[in-house]
Parts: sequence; structure tokens; C-alpha cells
Amino acid sequence: MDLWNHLYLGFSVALSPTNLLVCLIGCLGGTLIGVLPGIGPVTTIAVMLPVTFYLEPVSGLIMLAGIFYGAQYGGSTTAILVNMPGETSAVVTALDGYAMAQQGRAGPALTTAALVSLFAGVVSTLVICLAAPPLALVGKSFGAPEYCALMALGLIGVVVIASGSILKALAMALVGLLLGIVGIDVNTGDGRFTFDWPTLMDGVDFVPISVGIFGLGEIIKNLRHADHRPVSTAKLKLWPSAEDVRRATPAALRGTGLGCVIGILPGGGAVLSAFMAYILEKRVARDPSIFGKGAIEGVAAPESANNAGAQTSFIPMLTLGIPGNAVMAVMVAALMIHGINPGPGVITEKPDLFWGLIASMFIGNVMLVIINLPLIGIWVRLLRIPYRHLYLAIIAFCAIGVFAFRGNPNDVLLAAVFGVAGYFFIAYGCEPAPLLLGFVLGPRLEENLISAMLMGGGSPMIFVNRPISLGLFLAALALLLLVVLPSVRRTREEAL
Amino acid sequence: MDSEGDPARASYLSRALASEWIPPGLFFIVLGAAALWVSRDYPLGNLNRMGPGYFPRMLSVGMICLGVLILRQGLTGLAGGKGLRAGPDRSFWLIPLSLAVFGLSVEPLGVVVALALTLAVAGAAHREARIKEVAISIVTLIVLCVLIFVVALKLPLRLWPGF
Repeated sequence: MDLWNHLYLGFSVALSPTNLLVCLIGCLGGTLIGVLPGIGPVTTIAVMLPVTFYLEPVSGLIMLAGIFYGAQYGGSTTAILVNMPGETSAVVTALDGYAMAQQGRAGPALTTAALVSLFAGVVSTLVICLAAPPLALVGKSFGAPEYCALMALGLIGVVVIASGSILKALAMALVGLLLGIVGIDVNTGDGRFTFDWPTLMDGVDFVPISVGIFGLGEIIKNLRHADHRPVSTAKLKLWPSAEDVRRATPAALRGTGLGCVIGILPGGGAVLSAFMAYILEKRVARDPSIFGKGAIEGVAAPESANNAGAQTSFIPMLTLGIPGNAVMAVMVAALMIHGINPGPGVITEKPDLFWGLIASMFIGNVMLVIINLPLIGIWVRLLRIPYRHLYLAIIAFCAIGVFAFRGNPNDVLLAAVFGVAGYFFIAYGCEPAPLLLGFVLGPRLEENLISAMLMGGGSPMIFVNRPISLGLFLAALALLLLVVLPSVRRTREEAL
Repeated sequence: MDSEGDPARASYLSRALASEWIPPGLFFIVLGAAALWVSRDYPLGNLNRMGPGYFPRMLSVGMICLGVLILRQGLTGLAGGKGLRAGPDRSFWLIPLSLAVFGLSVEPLGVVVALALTLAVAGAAHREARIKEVAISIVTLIVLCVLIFVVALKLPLRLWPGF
């Protein structure tokens, strides 16, 4: 079968010594930032980019992907042990995971989290293998109007799931689109919004933006809060009981299924998957009152869902070039930096890259279980580093990372400006994720909009006359309307 | 949001600043208007052949409209304030400043000195900052960064001042 040949190719790429090493580095790095609060995958991937210049594109992607799904594993560790989710996707895990830890059952909670993550990771990677090639074929038949519609849908998806006001999220997406088109216009060769400053001629880069808004904004926010993190030092008994396994298994299956679906949707990804899985468990439970008091289902479902969602959110990114969340937006930028045009051509033109990345996900998930369970003591010890040392390290890495990216010190100044903006956004409830997505999509949206209007002879009816584009636009509209409806709005507020 | 205002006006100003809606609304309006103004000379073209000015102006107008809607939410008192409750403290300025220091000093002074300056500024941002601790952190982090970025990853970074 075709799939086996592809997987064979993939593993032959992923099992090379270099790629095994970068996969391990990515997974270790991901676990580390997952465990540590205050630095997330977006910032880390942005800071690590200059490093990937010196690697083959496939090795670079393997490492960056490892950081992303590794963070899902690491985030649960702190959520369970100290009720402090290292990643937003582990927020729900903290509810029941920490309750279990307080009952002295931290070990089984951690083991469950790691094993269901492995299960979900393997299943969802298989889903990528099966779903990506046909989706890329569909994507190849898309023209400019369909791509416009698809990007609109992607943007609306992220806007809809953003926490806080929809209006603000929408405005943030527009700010991102505007930032995205700063620089030389490809059609005319004239600079736009460059203020004759050479640094802006090549466009604002996404490394200063993501480091400034996501990295610095977070640090300023964290510095306002007190610095205490009680960590239990008791020896952990790792293995869950038979009863735990009996209860966790169906929850993990449901969580994996839900995560696989939500990850593919625009706006989907690890965070939304985990929230939805938790809500689903509460709905199907015979006795919903056990949740929040140490129910193992409350650990198994969101942990499997966030890993599944993290993996399958690669599908729209790899096949259509449309990122569904902020991390995927950074991955799109990473692809472009390596000279790869994200879109349906990637699978057929760069099979070694695509299948190598997929195969590395199987390997990485296994590595992560090994990294997480036996080495749990090391990660816990890292947690005792007080924040006043930690944030200095984050600043140092950010400064060097941004500078090394293009060797342009002005990029570091830009990052500082975006840091101020980032804190402003966080403080006033403006979610930064739509901005980053808009930023990555900006130039492509404009390009496709121009060609679509040319195709339609200047009439916007072209979007309505083509069934696929009409369908996608209607889907985007439906998403927006859904959120405005009161009942959905309530669930959204509950979940986010 | 940097100006504290005189005490007489402070109550109105601080209420507006604490609103979750008014400052972001104004921000989007001002940004949209500024973008509209900067892009005023970019050729607009028409729908059939959109010029380089078309898309930016679409975005700017959209941003202004959204800004007005957001501002209105604040003015009609629909939502309470949970914006910047305690005004910006020193971390708000020192953290971005520390990065700016790096950007300005790394070319003339090299990575080692620039990092030391940057981390000294950033170190002052913490409320419980202690000079001795920050100094130890700085030395450790410089060694670590040089080992990681220069020795292991071989990034072409200049370490010391001068040529």
C-alpha cells in the first residue's frame, strides 16, 4: 500500500542520527518550557528559529514540532503537581489532576497523563497520515477565491475561540493583517508603511512580533504576581490501579476522538480540545459531581485531547498552508523561511519533509513518555527555580534569539516595542493570537484577494458563484453568528 | 496611559483608563486612522485591479469601525472595568527597556557586555530584586548563552567590543 511506502520513506528520514537528535532536543525543550510557566511554545519556537537555519529544513521542522507537542506533555506535570499549568492547554488538567495530587495520587495522575498522551499522539499522527494526502488533493483544485474564503474562515475561527470580546479579537486580526503587509509590495515594488526605515523594507518579521507580544508581555504580567510555588517532595508511586485504568480508558478514547476532530478545525488546537473534552466528560458522566475532586477521567480526557488536537492541527497547516492557531502560524513562517511555500504542494513536492515530519511525531511521542515518567524528579526540581531567576534567562534567550535571527539589532528594538504593545493587549483583554495569525496570512490574503477580484472582473460575486468558496464563507459566517447567540456564548464563557 | 493627570481630573481619567473598552477602542481608532493617513498616497486602483492602496485602506476602515464599536461599549457603560487596575509598574517599562538596551548596545559593545547591561536592567524589574543575586544570574547566564549559542550552535555573534 501507498501508506507503507510513505511511512517507510518517513522513518528512513526521521531515523537518521541528526534527526533523532533534533527530535530529542525538541522534545526535551518542549517538556522544559511546558514545565516552566511564563514561556510558551510560540515564543520558544520563535527564539529557536535562528538555530534551525543551520539545519536541513526537515530537521528544523522536526525540532520545532517536538517543542510544540513536548510542551503538551510538560504542561500537565506542573498542572498536576503544583496546580500551576505550565501551558494553557493544561489548565483543565489542573482541576482534577491537582485534586488527585492532594489525595496523594499524583503518581497515577502523571502516569495516566503521559500514557493517554502517547496513545492520543499515535492515533492522531495516523489520522494525519490518512487525512492529509486527500485534503492536499482537494487543496490543489482551489483557486484564489477559495483560498480567500479559507483564510477568512481560519481567521474567524481563531477570533471566535479567542477569550474575551469578539470585537477586540476581530480588530486584533486586522492589526495583524496590516502588520503583515508592511514592507515592499510584491506587485509594484514600492514600500508600504516602511517610513523609509531599512529594517521595515523586508517587512516586520514575525520573530520580534511573537517574542515581543507573547514572550515579553507574559513576563511583565507574571512579574506583577507574587512568586511562590510549593512543590511536594514526596516520593511518587507511579502506577495507576486497575480501577483507574478502567475509568481512564473510555475517557481517553473520547478525548482522543474529540481532539483529532477539533485540531483540524479552524481555530482549533490543543487548548480548545482540552476544554471541550473536559466538558464532554462532565456531560457523559453518571455522576458529574466527582469532577474537580480528583476524577481520573478529568485528567485522561483533556490530556489525550490536547495532544491529539496539537498533532492534528498540523493537517490544515501542512496541506493547505492555513494555520489554525498561533503555534501553527509560527510554523508556517518557519516553512517560508526555509524557502518552502506552505500549501497543497508540500506533500508531493517535498515527500521526504512531510513524511519525515510525520514519522518523527511517532518517535517523539515515545521519547516523551520516556522523558516524562522516569525523569519526573528532574522536572520537578526545575520548578523550584524562583521566577526572579527564570525570567532573566528568558530575557537573555529572547534577546539573543531575536538578534541572531537576521543579525539586525533593530529587530530587538522592534521586539521591545511589541513587548509594550503585548502587555497593553493582555491588560485590556485583547487576545494576541488573532494578530499573529493575521500577520502570517496578511500578504497571502491580499495576493489572493487581488487575483480573485481580477478573475471575477471586479465583481465580488465571484465568491458567491463558486460553490466551495460560498460554502467556506457561509461556514465563517455561521461561526460568527453562533458566538453571538446567547446560549453558545454562555458555554464559551464557561469554557474559556 | 502614561500620564497620571492632575488630581482634579484624575477620577474621570482613571475611570476611563480602568475601562476594559475605552483605551482599546481608542487604540484601534487611532491606529486605523494613522494607517489610513500613511497609505493616502498609495494608488487605490479599482476592484478589478486593486492597487497597493486598496487592501490597507480596507483594513484601516475596518479597524476604525471596530474601534468605534468597542469604544461605544465602554461609553454606554455596558461593561465594568477590569483593565489596568493598578497603573503600570516598573516592570512595564524595564522589561521592554532591557531589550531595547540589548538592541542598541550589541553592535558597538558585543554580546557579553550587551547581555550584562540588558540583564541588569531586567533584573531591576523584579520587586524583590537583590543586587548580589542578579549579579550571579548575569554571570551564569552569560556563560550559559555563550556556551549554547556560540560554542555549541556556532552562531556568528561577536562577543567583545571593538573590531
